[in-house]
Amino acid sequence: MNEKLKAFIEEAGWPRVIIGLFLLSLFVAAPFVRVRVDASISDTLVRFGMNGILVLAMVPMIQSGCGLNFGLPLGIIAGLLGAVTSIQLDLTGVLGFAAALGIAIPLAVLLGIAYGLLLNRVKGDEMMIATYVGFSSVAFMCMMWLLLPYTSPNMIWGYGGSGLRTTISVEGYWLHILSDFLSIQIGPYLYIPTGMFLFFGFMCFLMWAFLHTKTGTAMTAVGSNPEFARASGIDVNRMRVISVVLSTVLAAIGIIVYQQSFGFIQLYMGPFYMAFPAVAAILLGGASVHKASMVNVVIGTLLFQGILTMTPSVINSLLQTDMSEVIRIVVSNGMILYALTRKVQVKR
Amino acid sequence: MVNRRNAVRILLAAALVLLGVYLYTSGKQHQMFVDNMGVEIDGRTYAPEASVRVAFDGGEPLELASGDRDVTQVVGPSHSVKVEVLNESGDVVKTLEGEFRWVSAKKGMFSIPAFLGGAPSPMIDSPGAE
Amino acid sequence: MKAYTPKEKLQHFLISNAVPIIFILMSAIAIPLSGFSATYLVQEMLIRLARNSFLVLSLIIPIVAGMGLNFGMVLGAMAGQIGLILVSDWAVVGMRGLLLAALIATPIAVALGYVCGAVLNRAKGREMVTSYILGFFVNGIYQLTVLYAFGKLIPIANSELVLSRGYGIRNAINLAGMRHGLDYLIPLRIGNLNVPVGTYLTIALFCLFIVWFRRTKLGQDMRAIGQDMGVAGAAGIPVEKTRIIAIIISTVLACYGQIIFLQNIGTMNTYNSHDQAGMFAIAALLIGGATVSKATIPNVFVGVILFHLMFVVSPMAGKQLMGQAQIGEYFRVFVSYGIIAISLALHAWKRQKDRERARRSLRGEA
Repeated sequence: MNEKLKAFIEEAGWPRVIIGLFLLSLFVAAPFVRVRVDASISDTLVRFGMNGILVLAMVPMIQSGCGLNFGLPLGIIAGLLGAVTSIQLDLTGVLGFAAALGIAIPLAVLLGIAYGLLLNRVKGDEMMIATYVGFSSVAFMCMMWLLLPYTSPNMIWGYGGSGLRTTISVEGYWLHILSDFLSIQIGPYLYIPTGMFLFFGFMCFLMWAFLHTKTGTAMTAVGSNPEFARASGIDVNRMRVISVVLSTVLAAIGIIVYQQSFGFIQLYMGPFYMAFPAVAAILLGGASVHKASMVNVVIGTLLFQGILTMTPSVINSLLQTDMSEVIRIVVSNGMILYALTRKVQVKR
Repeated sequence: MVNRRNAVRILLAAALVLLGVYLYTSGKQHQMFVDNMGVEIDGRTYAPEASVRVAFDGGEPLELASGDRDVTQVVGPSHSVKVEVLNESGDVVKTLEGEFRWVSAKKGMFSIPAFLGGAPSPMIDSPGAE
Repeated sequence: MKAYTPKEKLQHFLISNAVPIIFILMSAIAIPLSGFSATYLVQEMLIRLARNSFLVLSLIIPIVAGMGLNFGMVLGAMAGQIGLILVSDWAVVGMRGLLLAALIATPIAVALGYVCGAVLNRAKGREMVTSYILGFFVNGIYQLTVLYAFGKLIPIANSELVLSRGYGIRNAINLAGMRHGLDYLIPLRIGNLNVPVGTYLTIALFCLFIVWFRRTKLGQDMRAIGQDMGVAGAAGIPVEKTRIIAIIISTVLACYGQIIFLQNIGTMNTYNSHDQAGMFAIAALLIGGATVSKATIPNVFVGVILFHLMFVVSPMAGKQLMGQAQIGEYFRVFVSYGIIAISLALHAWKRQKDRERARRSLRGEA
């Protein structure tokens, strides 16, 4: 028994075990500090649905050996442009949502190709460069949000008359368009956004199916052994670009799904740090810097979002202070750090 | 192992700690009250002057009439002070310079009458201390 | 071996100094637009040179050791800030306060630097991302300490420093007692400008230290490791230990740099100052023409001046050009991040090309 436990901890890695136990203890402690467990579960589920696709966006690049996509904001920007344009066109309901996706995806493909070509030139240093590509594109878009000629009164600053607001409500356009589809309400607190889950499940299925196509397996081969892949006639650079494009497109879709549930489009510095929770979540789910699966995505997102929902409510009622922000920073970056230092160690 | 290298290290660490203690005591800023009221120390009473001008460590002078109390900042453990007693027209009648040491925040009030009267230490209980 | 023609020399000069040249051109356009007077800009640059140079200089040693840009320098900055918080609580003022802050912060910086070096030894080849994430991670621990332990576990007497709930340090700390403690240690006024002689002397000393250090045995070892870790290890240089030392030195120096930076500004943003320190220092160094593998002392000064010139000028230029100062502000954020992205990418690209060339020549010979 003890041996088995040891083997399990060895397999999962101690940070995951600690974080898992931490989350478990939060759920156990919740009723004692008068935090409603059903409301917490509901929150966790909603956040799980919101963030799932953004986490899924990590998978293709990890599989193709491009590492963790810290450049996620690039895809998010494509999604933001799609969302904002759809509102500008005054499209509502399913049509508005589809239009946002329809505009965002081609943009994401274009940005993804450029980004992928860049990453092909910097093999081995992808992660650091991706981080700064993400940051600088966010900063660049900050200028663009001020300058682009959007005119919808729901989006521009009231007094200045030019430039988009920092947060734009999607209410009246496509708020909860996915979440409310076939949604289940149990009692006053427990709400299950079925539509969002179905969509997320569908995306995961597509990704899984893709990884089992010829292109998908070639991509994985590039990630696990580029020299071997080259020798067997796979165009390594092309595979890498495809993975980056996929990741960017998923990020664009992911942010739109996020917004329809959250209710707001966050512009300017909003997407700045969005890559980090997604990276941390997939690593928490058991992925490493060079291998990730759908199971990692689902488990990771559930665990990570569970911690994000539970810490504020439970710790706040326990200690009367809001430590959730600090815990989030320590957990997510600790997880990334663990993954970054682990791979080399295993190799040696 | 106490070899030469470790001995040097210990000495160095001790020197740094001493430097820290020195910096702390010599650089600490104290809030000091300055008082021109009658005061009784060890059974002796010291009467206030009608008007005085007082400067600490060569800084900006403060002017206090009888019964006045002011507050200033001094840095470090020992200080010089220059007290000038003024007459009604504002001319300097008497000048007294001297040194004194900071005692504690509890005894954080400089009594001008006690200083002019030659008390062993001009520092008396702070007004907030009791 | 053929001699270079003047044209080739010029070409080489332009290519190797592309980043600073672009920045000089950009400033040449932006300065007239901003409408600032030359005297104002010169004064501002003199102040900012004193304020930032030390922080930027602290990045040099890890570059020599081949560890790239030390994004972990924020660790040192945090250590410095902890020192400053304690010293301002104790109300130790002036230069003595700064020295005491440095004295307290040094062991913290050494410990953090050791941790950082040890972590980076486990992530060879991706030091930069790792040190970058480590910066975030330690930032979490720093916040935990400053926001929860200070005032509870670590007594803070001065109620002006503590949040109204009774523990945790306030967002902004006024360092009035220590302000310009080093800057004006040796008073000198030229016109109506106070010259921060003390800080300039410290920076000069530091430059001498770097020049001297590069010639020592340790400095030579670092250079060897920077060129090829395997060869250096085979030659009997303790690679891991030397790398840790390089990071410790950088962290401690960044800690002093942050203290110098904050004494010049006079107020400290408890929860933001260190983050900005890292980003600005790295951007400045790269703008000065340094790369991930090569940085010199002139790079530092050129970089600080060019970066801060842009920093001062761009909001006003944005206002004149677009009618919105906000654009200029976003522009400088964009440039800071963009320049880091481009420099990193160019360097990685060049390295990849070198690798490919090496591989091809191997294949050709075989």
